[in-house]
Amino acid sequence: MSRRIFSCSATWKDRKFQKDFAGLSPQAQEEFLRELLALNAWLEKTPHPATDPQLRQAYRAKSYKGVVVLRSGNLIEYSLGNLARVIAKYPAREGSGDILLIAVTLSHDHERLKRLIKSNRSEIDDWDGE
Amino acid sequence: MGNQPTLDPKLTAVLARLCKRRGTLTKTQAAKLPYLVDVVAQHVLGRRITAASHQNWRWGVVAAEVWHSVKPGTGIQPFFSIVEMPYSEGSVQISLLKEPAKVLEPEEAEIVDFVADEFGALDYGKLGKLTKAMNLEVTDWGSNTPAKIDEDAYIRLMGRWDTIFSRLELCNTEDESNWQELTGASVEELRKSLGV
Repeated sequence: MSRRIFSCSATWKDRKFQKDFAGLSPQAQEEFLRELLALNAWLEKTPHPATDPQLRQAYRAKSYKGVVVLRSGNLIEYSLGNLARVIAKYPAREGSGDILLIAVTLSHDHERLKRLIKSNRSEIDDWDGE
Repeated sequence: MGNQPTLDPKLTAVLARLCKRRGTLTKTQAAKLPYLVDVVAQHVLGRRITAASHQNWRWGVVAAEVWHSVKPGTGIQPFFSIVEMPYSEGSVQISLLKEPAKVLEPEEAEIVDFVADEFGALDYGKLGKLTKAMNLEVTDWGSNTPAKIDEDAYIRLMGRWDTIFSRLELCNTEDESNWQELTGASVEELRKSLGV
């Protein structure tokens, strides 16, 4: 099966994401984009973008109803590593197998929190797994 | 029966510091901001600061103890002024009268200040949407089920998923003129679509 992937223009290009992305090193930016591309490729081929067990394992895919009023479809959340998330709507339109990418978010620790995290590093879970 | 609701000393101290930083809080801010404090603390310190019961109520996450305590003449009066605003549909404003015992560690106080500065200006509607966006899994808003205090909640908070969802609600996702195809996109096409 081949699925078409679309992004939602109103939400996909996002200033907060652009600012967070600019805060990454060039190497981290490239790595992030490669991971996003890999998710894109996976979504094209997966039997189902929410229930495919391999996809669920690789990207911790989770499907949600009810938070946002959508005329049809559910929201799906994908994790890229532990810092980036992709939000998608599936199906993109009723009766289709296509998927609509809504947003991508990058989570930086705020400068004010970094020092606290550093000083407490021995006490907290190494949540980014590095 | 007849017992006044009580707040644990840390929760009282968090509310006091939020009031000190913001001047006054509405009842909604007093009931929701401690949730953000505990989510940030869980990420930064690996533990919560308060023992509040953060629950999924109809309009977002609420620290139940705070909601029940913030009434003129009850609960947290010794430390706070609780004033019902006239001609304001029952709105209540809370300000600090006298400081409670200093029970916050310096790093805890910094987290409270961070939340006050970053999120303390949000009104009841925005705080409701923000706390709901942090708890996507919840389908039964208007219950006393516990809210998430984990990395998912933290990432959604700091990523301001509420603003993404607000824009999504204004957008007709069925309208294909709002779509851009990314099937088989290259890195460059992906960059262009994201504007980076």
